[in-house]
Amino acid sequence: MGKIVVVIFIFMAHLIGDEAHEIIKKLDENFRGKNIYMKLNMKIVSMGHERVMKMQSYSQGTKKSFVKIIYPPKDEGITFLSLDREMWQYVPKIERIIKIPPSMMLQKWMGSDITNDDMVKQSSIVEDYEPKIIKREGSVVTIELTPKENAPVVWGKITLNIDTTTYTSHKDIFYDEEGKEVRYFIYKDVKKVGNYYIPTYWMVQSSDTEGRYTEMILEEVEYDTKISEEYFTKSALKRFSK
Amino acid sequence: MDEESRTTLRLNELGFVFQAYNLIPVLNVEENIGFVMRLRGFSDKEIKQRVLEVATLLEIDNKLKSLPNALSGGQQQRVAVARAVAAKPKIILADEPTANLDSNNSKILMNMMRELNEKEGVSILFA
Amino acid sequence: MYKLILKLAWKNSFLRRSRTLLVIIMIAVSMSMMLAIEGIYDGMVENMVDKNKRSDSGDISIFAKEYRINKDLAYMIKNADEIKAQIENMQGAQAVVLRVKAEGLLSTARKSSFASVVGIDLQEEERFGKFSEFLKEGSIDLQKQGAIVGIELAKTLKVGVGSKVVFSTQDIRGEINSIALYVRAIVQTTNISLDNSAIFIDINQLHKFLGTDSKNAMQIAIRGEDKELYGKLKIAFANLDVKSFLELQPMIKQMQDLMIIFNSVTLLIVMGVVFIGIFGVMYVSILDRVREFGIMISVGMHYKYITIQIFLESIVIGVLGYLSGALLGAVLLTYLEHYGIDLSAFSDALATWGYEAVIYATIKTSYFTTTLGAIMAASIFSVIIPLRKIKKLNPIEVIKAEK
Repeated sequence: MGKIVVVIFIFMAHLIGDEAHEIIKKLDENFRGKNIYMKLNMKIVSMGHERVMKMQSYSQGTKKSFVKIIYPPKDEGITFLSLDREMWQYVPKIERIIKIPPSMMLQKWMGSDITNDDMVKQSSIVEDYEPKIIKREGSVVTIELTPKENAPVVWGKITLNIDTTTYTSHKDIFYDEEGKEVRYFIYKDVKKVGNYYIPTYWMVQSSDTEGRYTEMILEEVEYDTKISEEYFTKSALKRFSK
Repeated sequence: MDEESRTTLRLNELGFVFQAYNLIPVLNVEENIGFVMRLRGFSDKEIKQRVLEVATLLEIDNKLKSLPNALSGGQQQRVAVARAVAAKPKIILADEPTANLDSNNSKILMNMMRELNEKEGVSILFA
Repeated sequence: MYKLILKLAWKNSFLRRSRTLLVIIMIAVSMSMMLAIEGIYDGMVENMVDKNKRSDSGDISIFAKEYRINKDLAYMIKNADEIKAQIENMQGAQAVVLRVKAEGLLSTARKSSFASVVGIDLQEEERFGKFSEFLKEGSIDLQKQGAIVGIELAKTLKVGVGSKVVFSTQDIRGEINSIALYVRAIVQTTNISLDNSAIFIDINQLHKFLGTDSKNAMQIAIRGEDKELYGKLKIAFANLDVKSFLELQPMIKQMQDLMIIFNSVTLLIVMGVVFIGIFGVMYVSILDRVREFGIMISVGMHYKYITIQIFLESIVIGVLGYLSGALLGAVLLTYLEHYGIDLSAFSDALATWGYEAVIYATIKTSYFTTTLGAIMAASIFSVIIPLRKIKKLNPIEVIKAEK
């Protein structure tokens, strides 16, 4: 009898684990499709100051992405390319391609609350973490991601609050090793684009810094259109800068 | 004569007794009496013998280990005389040796010097 | 004769006992202070030299030619394992270690900092420089992605034993790679660059992570005091960058030079104290004893003996000062050698220079010999002027003059 209970328990746990995996996979798919083109406005608010940037982003799968800044004029034409785990930046003013060294990977991307690392390690959530459902409330499932053993990630855990009707998260919280909250993402205004759902309002804030956050509004989103492979080469950095 | 040879002359031929405060304050009576002998290079044994001899003559043999400032004025002058005599100089020059002594002590010192003159055959020139 | 002069000098030295004692104390105190400061400073520098040698460069380090200018994975010493074996067989080489280094980013959830990862072989490092003595916290162990972090780096990142950190750097293919590391120990090497930015991991782990050939290394560090070894290595490995400890640590060379200047200055100050002290005592003492010298000269004492007597008097004071100073200094130094001096109040400032909060003194016989020389010289010089006073004396005048 006892044995059967244990077997059932293991089976259930497995099922739940699988469900969590499934949810994370769907969430990830919603975020990138086969490929995705976005035009977004980024607003960086810091101690009363506000800075607005506009950019276009092309990405394919988990490993390739290309970003071009189109506003403000002083930053216009700056392009970023990330391939696998490497990242380059092109600055038209000095006509140089700079490889972002590892020591800069955790620096704030263009002064925002997003790090270079966030831009590069998009696939990490699926690869490096073990998901577990810890709460269900209606259609909202809270999933806790804990790093797999020896995964090279800094977070102690991440919790995602995912609406299973659309497979989009409305809040991600990042914790440090001691379980203290470090930063969170809030997502709103989910839209359906083709077969995918995507929140068009994103906000990032560090948990211990009041009055400083970064907002992103997706103005245009296109999934699975033909994005030329040319975008994902180093020569694109300069070529598509104009 | 240069300073060097004058010093040597004083050392070997002459003895001195001054008016007062003649002695070397950090040396005891025995060492003060033997001082000139030592300068002239007599042996320890010779010095010891001779010092005892003159000290006995001058009746200060019981004060040999005392420091000068523990002696009376008369006794100090006797030590000075003993020092002058000890090395057997040809002449002793005494510059008013009794000037700072009372009449009684003066008399004793003069008597002793006369006795020395007779026993030791040393000439003493008083100033 | 000289016995008499010595006796005169000895007795006269203590004619004014309190004044002489005061001068002796003055000399003793200033001298022992100087010795203590010298010992502490020497101790500080020696400690730094010792720990720098043990934790990093050894007596000699070898790099690939371009490596020190451009710290790139491309500039590794090829077949370093063979070179190591070759050096181990050379005369004068006591211990040899290979190290692999890479610069990158060490991060936690909250913070990240520039860091350089150093791949080491713990057993060999132990033989090379007693690595375990640097331990501040935790236990020395690099198994299973274990890492040992420099104390300042740990403070910067606010990590402790048991924390997980992620190190990212470019591997040999140029890709940015990350590895999770578990902090097992925190070390203080007193080598500023290591304490501020080093994270030690197992050398094979690092080779694997970087994708580098395990035969190669960035650095071959050699312990060996033999002076000829450096020349031999330069010739044997002309195609590599062979550097001696002081070439690699120009700052320590500067500190050693500075120490010589500093010690000379303190020595001069002590000499000055001795000179002024003895001069004062002797000058007054000689003026007081003019009549006495007059008598001595007039009963036939040569001027030269008086000179000797006065020199002896001054030397007696100097020697007594020296002896008490040496004794006091030795006591002070022995204390400081064992218990050290706790400068925690300034430890932040000191730490930036790579010093520890508690500094232990060194004792060298040279401290005592050079001070003896200096004090003797000062004692002798200090009576030259008073002596000239006596030279001018006319004995008869002096005796006549006053009562």
